[in-house]
Amino acid sequence: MSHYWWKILSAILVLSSIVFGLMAPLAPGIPFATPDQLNNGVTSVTVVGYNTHFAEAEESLQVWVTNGDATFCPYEVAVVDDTHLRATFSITEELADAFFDLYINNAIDGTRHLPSAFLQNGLEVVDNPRPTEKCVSDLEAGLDAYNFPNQPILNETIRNLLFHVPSWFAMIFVMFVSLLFSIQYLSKGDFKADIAATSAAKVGLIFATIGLATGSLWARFTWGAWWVSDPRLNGAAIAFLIYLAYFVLRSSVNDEEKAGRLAGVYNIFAFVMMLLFVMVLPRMSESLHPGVGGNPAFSQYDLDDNLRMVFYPAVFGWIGMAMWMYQLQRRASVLAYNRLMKLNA
Amino acid sequence: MKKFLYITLAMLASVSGVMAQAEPTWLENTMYASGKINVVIGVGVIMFLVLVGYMVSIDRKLKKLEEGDK
Repeated sequence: MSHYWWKILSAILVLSSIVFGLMAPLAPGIPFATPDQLNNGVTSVTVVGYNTHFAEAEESLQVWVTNGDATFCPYEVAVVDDTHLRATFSITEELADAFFDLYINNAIDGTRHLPSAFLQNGLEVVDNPRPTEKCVSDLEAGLDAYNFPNQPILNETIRNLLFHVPSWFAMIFVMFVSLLFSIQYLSKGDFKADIAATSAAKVGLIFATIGLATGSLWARFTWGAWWVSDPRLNGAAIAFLIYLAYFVLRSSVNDEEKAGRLAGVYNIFAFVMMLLFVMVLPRMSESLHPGVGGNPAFSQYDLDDNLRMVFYPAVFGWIGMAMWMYQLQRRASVLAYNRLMKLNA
Repeated sequence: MKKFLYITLAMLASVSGVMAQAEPTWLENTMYASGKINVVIGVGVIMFLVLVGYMVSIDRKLKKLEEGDK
């Protein structure tokens, strides 16, 4: 039993992160508004909310758009239901910016906004437009509830932070374990260490596969393509290929000892390259990936506390699961190795 | 046989490329619904499948060892 405590603990952490990660509601948000243009003159738009309470908190509802420092309010707002409302704007003023940000405030949801909700159409964009009247006042704070941030574009897929991201953390962790065993093998020549290094790298490759496949699915329905050429994505793919080459190298050398030593040296190189391609390079360049560079989708509440409360247990849980998998892999491999030795003797 | 498979895959890929321009498919309608929650479900399914695949590989490895015992 005493050997099982960390396995049970990580299984509980993973299970609770799945349950909480899927059960926690998403904060109210505005996924989109149609049409996405405000014309010179009168425009009626339909605003679609998510987990919002437009109808329930109709008395306190305020809708407005901002453009630079200017604020414009609709002259008519018709609430359809909790998640739909129609607002009619009349804008003829000069603008500072081509895009309008949309804001909604009510007593339950607080202030929610959709950046660059509308593109101006037929209006004049100048450097110093005349200031407008302030039409928004007495904003409500909204009710406090436990929920995950509702980011534009991401919406519910912010929950992938609890699945996709920990699998990369787990991958990096077991690759580090693999590196330690490789170094041990190179310095001591203990064959068990070589087996351990290979087993850990194998598990790491499995988690990299999970990371790439889940990321690809998400990209398809977020960016519209299974794969986009982005430093973070390409870096991850290169890291995956580097470790794939580790196994190719291993199996291409017949002499066990030589293969072990070559693979050990390569593993050190592979770990450094992996860190470079996964951790360093994406941070040095622009990337669309959430949480990287100056990405506006994540900068405001990069990781809010509610998400963090589930994210860290998920990371530790998945690292534990990866170590468990590595242990199974190593034990099976050691058994197979011992049998081979017995047969040869 | 392998060639046939590759040709079919290539054709499927090109067809899906053309389809992407057209009306949203049932898959897109499913995935974009309800704040894209089904993408999260899909991610969970992928994780589960890969882990099951790993368990199968360990199972095979152990089976081979057991067979050697007889």
